[in-house]
Amino acid sequence: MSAEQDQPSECLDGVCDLSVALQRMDGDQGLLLEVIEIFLEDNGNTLLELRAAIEKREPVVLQRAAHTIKGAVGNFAAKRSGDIALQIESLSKGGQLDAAIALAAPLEREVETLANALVAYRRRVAA
Amino acid sequence: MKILIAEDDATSRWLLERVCRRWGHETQSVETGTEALEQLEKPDGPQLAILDWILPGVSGAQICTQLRGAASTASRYLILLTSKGGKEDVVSGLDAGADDYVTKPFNQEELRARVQVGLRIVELQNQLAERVTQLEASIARERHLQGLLPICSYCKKIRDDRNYWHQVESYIITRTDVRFSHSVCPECVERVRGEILKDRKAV
Repeated sequence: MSAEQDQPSECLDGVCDLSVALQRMDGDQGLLLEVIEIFLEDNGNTLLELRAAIEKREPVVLQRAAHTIKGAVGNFAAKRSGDIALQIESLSKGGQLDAAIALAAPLEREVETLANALVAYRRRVAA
Repeated sequence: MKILIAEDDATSRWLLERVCRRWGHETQSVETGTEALEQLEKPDGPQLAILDWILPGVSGAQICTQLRGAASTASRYLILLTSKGGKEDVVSGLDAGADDYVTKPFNQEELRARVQVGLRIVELQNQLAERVTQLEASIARERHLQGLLPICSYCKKIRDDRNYWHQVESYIITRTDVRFSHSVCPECVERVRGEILKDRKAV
């Protein structure tokens, strides 16, 4: 594996910044790969919670689910998904449930893009 | 020392567990605020906790308020996890009784330093509590000797609370840290010498 391949710079702009993530983890790539693994495993459950909160129209649960997603994607400096999750959290907290729900689909798309980027990174590092 | 981690996001929880263990600490993880409170309220519960701000059940800030309200749990060291830029959260978290906060996503070095501060404070509190216990025991022993002691006018034995009679020496030894060094006073030397001489003459 070349040094260039080892760089996480291939991540899409705004989707994630794994160089920042790696820096926060003291440059421990093994640890970053494990965190990616846990995220990819658990990501589906978190999105299920988000959908359940929308279905039941429960602002408190929606706020919490968005907060959880924000925390999870934050580990990868994922700006776009993190920003949408923050908006959903704030809107739910402020009682603007419909506006918050409207952002759920864009959030799911961004989280999926992030997951794909992480899978690609993992594959690249393992190669 | 065991650290309680309360975080509902599996990724962040796993990362927190992993780094705390790497630093040599035992960890206990929970996903809800209710579970966290339950663990921290136990008399032998973890003395240091890292709590997410928003948790299912009870929030991190509510946990702080509740623990500070009870004497038995008031000394738990509580670190709140807050969002970047959530200054209002930081202020209300500290007002609620949190000792410190770390913004998410956290930087390992910063968290390690803050956990170290917490552990040092917990250690100092434990030492202080031990000293207070020792001091209270000493005061209790001293008080015990300040009351009115029933003493036999003839043999000088002392009666205890359970109606048993003791020699002065054994009574004091069992109730204080005092130890006796045995000797003979000049008056007794004279008396004993007289008695010995008298015995020899009789023989």
